[in-house]
Amino acid sequence: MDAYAATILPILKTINTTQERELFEQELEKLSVALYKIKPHEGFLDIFSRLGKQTQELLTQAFTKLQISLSNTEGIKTYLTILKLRLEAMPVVSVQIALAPTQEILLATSSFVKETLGDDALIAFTVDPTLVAGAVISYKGKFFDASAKNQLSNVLLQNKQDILSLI
Amino acid sequence: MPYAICYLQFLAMIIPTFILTIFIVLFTLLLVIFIILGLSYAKLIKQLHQKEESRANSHLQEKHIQNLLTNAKEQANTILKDAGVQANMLLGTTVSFSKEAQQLTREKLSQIVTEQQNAIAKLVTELGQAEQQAIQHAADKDIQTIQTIAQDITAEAEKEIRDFRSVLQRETLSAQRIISSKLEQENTQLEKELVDYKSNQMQKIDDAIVTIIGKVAKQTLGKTISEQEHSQLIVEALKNAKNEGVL
Repeated sequence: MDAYAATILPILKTINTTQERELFEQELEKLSVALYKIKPHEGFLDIFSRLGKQTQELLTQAFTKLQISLSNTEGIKTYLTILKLRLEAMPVVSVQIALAPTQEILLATSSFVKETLGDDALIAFTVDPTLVAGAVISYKGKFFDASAKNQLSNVLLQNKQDILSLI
Repeated sequence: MPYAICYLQFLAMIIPTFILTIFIVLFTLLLVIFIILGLSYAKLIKQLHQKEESRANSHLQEKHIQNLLTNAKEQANTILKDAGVQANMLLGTTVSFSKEAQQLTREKLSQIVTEQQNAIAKLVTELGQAEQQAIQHAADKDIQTIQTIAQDITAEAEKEIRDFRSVLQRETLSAQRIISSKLEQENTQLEKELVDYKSNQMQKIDDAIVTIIGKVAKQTLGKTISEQEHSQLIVEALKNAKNEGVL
């Protein structure tokens, strides 16, 4: 089992967001479906050849380390099942930001989250332009609002009477 | 001749007796007339008693009776005068009637007339008094009845006024209580609506201020903040979350 975990973790490190995880899961699902067809080997190879380059490399490395040949459909089925379960178990940090995450934002946040919570941690980005800047963080039922909107609101509430007196 | 004198003397003795007889008959007739008048008067009195309820009519009846009595008295006097005149004429035409006999007859006649006149006057007076008493009795009874009715009416009116005043007071107090209750309810409702309205308006103002300032901040800060600064702010937020124990 440790051997499986050792091969899965590098894969998980490459997945930064829930969106990326979803795309990866979709590719794994295609492979799994191919393995249950009449000619599983041929179908698997056909699907495998059409996967993303990074996915192909990661899976090939894993199969190599585990000594699972591409013709070993049962071994591949087992590995894919374990991988899917591990993907589902990835810890997810919800990060609400004011603009769509750019690559720079993605890398910066993902790097921090993985450093803090582990390589298997994911980020679920949502966009709310009213936040202006900063982010609203929630993780395992805990919540922290570090948006510019919240800071502005706090400032307004603190100075509410002064503002109302001007109206 | 002596027979003639005897005859005249006989006539002189007979005539006064005859005249007296005529007068007596006349007076008897007069008494009958007065009795009839008295009965009629009594009947009128009886009718008057039956009409006690009408005081106004009694006054007219009184006048009517007075007129009847006055007329009866005048008629009696007229009859008596006529009888006296006729008797004098008879006496005057009796040539052979002795002066002494004529004087005696006149005095007697005058005495009878006077007595009859007094009797008539007395009767009229008594009838008048009886009528006055009857009228007074009726009037007193009317007055008592009217006083009783007036007292009853007064008592009934006072009772009605008391009842009306009581009902009015009760209804007024009830209306006051209802109005007070309504006003209190209205005031409470208005106060609540006012507080709610104020709260809503304050919330709207808060929301509006936040929205406006948010828009302004977005239009100014959002555009002025670079992608790198955004990234730094997000990482800063994560760091703060970590420091707060969220991560």
